Amino acid sequence: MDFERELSALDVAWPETPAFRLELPQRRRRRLLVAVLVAAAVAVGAAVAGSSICAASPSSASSGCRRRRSARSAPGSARW
Amino acid sequence: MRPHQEIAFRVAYLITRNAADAEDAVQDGLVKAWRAFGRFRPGAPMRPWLLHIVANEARNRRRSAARREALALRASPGEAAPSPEEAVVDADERARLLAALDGLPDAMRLVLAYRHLLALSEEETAAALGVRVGTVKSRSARALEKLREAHGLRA
Repeated sequence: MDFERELSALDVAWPETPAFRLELPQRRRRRLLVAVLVAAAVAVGAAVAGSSICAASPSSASSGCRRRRSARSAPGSARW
Repeated sequence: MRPHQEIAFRVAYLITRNAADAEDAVQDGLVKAWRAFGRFRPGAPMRPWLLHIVANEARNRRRSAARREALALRASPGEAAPSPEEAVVDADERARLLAALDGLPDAMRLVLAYRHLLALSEEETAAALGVRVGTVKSRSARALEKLREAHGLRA
């Protein structure tokens, strides 16, 4: 019996080949891009909101921006 | 890569012996190949390169304890059998041969399946197995010997 020939003549019932798509990396990249954009938007929003609060209440003694401003302008506060 | 998807799936199926695992292996292999495409040598044959990547993925996800599907024969209606009795004997003989192949150790089973069931060249078989062409030749000879023994035992 010629096994090589017999093997080559076998008609194997292979499972059906699924349809493959190369979408995964694009989806991942898009998700990463969206996450970066959202993070950037949040950071910009927080910065704008912070500066507008300081601008709206310059006389408030308890506000953080007032304290920072006075600390920056206080004589002798600089460290050497 | 699309023309090679079917052969890649069958290579993975022979390793994992499970269609779902083979599908995952090919999907991940295609993504890896797509990412590594910049390192692909222009002018080199793509099929062995892709089969090597997919076979590696399939080996990584082979689950020894998972469901293991056996290879099955498909009825070939186009074949002209001399008589119904002989056709039955012939089908029986082929089923025994396939069962004997299925029972071989993985290294031997794969080399014969790649070479003869998938009609891969020695180079492609070597790439899919991650061995040298010389190893494919020697392993094929040993596997045929073993198949002869196993088939004899089943007769």
